[in-house]
Amino acid sequence: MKLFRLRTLWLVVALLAGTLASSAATNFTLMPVRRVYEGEKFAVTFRLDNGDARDIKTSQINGCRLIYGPSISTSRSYSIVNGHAESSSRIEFTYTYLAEKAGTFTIPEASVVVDGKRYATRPGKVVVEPASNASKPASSRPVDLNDIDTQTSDRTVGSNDVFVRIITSRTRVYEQEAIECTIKLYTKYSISEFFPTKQPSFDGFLIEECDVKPALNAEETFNGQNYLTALLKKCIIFPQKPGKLTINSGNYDITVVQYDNVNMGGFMTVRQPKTRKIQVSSNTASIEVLPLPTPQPQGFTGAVGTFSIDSKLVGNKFMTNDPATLIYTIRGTGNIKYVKEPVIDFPSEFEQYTPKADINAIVSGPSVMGTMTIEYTFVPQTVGSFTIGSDRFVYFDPDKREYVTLTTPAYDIKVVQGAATSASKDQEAIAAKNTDILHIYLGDPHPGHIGKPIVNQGWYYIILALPAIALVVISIANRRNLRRAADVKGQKLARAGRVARKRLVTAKKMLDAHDADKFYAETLRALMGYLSDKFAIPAGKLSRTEISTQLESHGASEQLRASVQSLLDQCEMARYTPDSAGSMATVYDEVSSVINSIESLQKK
Amino acid sequence: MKLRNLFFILTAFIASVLPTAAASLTEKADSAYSAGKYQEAAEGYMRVINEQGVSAPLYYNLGNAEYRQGHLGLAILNYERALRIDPTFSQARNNLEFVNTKIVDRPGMRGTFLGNACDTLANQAASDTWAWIAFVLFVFVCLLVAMYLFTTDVRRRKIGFFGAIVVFVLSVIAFLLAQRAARIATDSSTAIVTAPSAILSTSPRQPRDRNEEALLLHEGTRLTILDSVKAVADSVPALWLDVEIDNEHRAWIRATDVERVR
Repeated sequence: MKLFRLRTLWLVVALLAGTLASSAATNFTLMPVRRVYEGEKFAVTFRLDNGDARDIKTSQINGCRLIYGPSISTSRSYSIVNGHAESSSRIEFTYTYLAEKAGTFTIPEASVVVDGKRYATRPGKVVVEPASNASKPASSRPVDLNDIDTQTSDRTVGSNDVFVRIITSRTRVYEQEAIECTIKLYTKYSISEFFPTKQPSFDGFLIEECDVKPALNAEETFNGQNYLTALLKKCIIFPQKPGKLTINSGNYDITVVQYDNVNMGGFMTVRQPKTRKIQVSSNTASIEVLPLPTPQPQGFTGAVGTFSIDSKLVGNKFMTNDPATLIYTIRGTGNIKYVKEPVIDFPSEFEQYTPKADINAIVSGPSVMGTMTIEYTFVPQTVGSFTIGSDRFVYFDPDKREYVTLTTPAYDIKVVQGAATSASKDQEAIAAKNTDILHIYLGDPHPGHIGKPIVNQGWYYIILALPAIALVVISIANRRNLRRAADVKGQKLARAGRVARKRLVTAKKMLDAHDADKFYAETLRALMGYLSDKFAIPAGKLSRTEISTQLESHGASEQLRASVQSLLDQCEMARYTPDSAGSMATVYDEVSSVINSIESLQKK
Repeated sequence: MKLRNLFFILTAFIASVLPTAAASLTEKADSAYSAGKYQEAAEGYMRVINEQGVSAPLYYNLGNAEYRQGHLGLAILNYERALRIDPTFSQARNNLEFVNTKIVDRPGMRGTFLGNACDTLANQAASDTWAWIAFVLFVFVCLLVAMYLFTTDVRRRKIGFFGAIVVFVLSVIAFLLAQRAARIATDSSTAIVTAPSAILSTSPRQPRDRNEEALLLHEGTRLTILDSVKAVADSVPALWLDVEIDNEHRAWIRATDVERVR
């Protein structure tokens, strides 16, 4: 796995190097033609940079005679700096003409075909001056690059002899759109010293500098005059805010070389170089920056240019606790260096590491071209089928003036059990991700009218009152039962009385019959029988003391015990002294009262 | 019985004519939602609400469609409306709580701890459910009182007596919860901010300077309306509402920036 990843990395690097080495742009230009006098021969050169073509299509200059051409010269260079390979080639097609008469002539356009693509030069001009001008004294001729005689020290260095230009490839761009900005020194004189006192300031821009070594090496025609130029600075600038942005001028101290013609006596004149210090300030450049059109689509993070994306999942087997990699590549032209890393939608079951971004961009033509490679390393934590969501990459294409959305595919991956890292893993609670709303209710929603809550409606209180009213009515109807049920003590007594009455039923008969002897016998028997049954005392053991202890153990009061004893005494006494018949009714009442008291004792 | 039969036949007849239209309308809106055409779905649900009446699932679905369109305020409004009808609608509560985590403002404490606890309890069932629980419990109270009155057995009388007290207290609680739930469901003072953002004023008019700007609220925040005042500014009458955001914040908001839950 690791080995495999390393290999892909190398592959990526190799591919990258390949693309960068061949990145120099093809260019086909007409070289400036030096000043020509009538009757002179002159060369018209077309230069093809970084292309291979032998057939040039052009027509002759009308009014000049072609002596020879085209002669082809080829040069090629290849360099590797810090592992960065660069190759360049140059083919020059030279036509030699004879200027037969004075005048201004048009150099017709020339074209070549390189790799199926046609490159053409713009038509140029050649000014053939009358022969009489050539014999004029040099001081009366205008300063010329290739005519040292004209570069005398008595001349002041004019603003169109030496100057610095800020050149922007475009003046109306969108925010974040790349602009090529070059700062060039133009001079007709040779220069011995050059010192920038104030660099141009790029307020409101992000700058991508190109590596240039300033050297006075290129000839160029500007406003019909030939200059030697030096590229001071080349950069790609990205405007950061809409509105009118200005690149402020820079100031330069330049020492130019002029020549004094020193007469050495006779016809000997010697040119003596003389330096002159001048101060030059460049022009200012203003750029109109248009805001990006609104509404900006979702997912747009500020990428402007043309891009393509590619994502690749390394490997096809995924195991738990085994790191895997998703490589995301953004390739294209534009503000690639400022593109934000996309946030890939990984399942939350994956442990993620901070993505590693690698930007490899170089300036190419009027923009920055390159590749941003982002490596997302993730570690699946659990077994299962997961989906790595597709990512939307949105950029603004300033040429088409529209937003373009690219999507990467979603990856369905299956994670199998890898080597366990720890001996055992704790069970996990089911965790809701809670990242979205629930789905709509799909059943019949039963639309209808929603009435008032029933607690706010009168009928509810009516039905609430119904059971209460029913209760009251039933209570009134059964108030006798009610009263009886409420008299707890009376009931108890009534029940106890029933027991006593049952026991004393015979005694009552005797009482009514005034049979004193039998009455007392029966009362005694009833009382003894009651006590015997009540306290479960066998008849043989029924003694005064036993009765007293039993009564005491059942919580009877001293008074009750005393009255039981006195009743027993009274009944026994009465059996033998029959004179006390008058108290029979009292005895009966007392016995039933005692039995009731004992009954209520039992209930406690 | 005969009347009932007639009623059934009638409803069956209406069901065969009317609800097909209703079902097709909601089904259309459901399928538009599933297809990702949320605006169309929202319009469909709103049409059903206008033509056939409301229900908790309809408001819930409408809330979902609004959320998908990014209208957090309207989504919260509709979830609140769904919960007014059915406070036990757990999906609506779930989504409401979820969307409330997505809005910009996080208000402070609202109401008292005890009041909120009562509200939570009251929201465990619809007001009508509480009302019927109270009624059934009250019937039990009467039965227990009758048991106390008419039995002679002391144990039964005791059960009747104390049981009646306990069940009566429960019945009163259920009744109070029914009233509380009814108050929550019919409360007209709750409103939701539906404008993307609104600057509240210290007085019922457009803030004249920075000092009159009370606070800034965003879409989806729930408010309690305490008062309303019609203010005329530049001969344009505008309704301003005195609102309470939480226990500590109170200010005036333009009526057009909010929508009442009911």
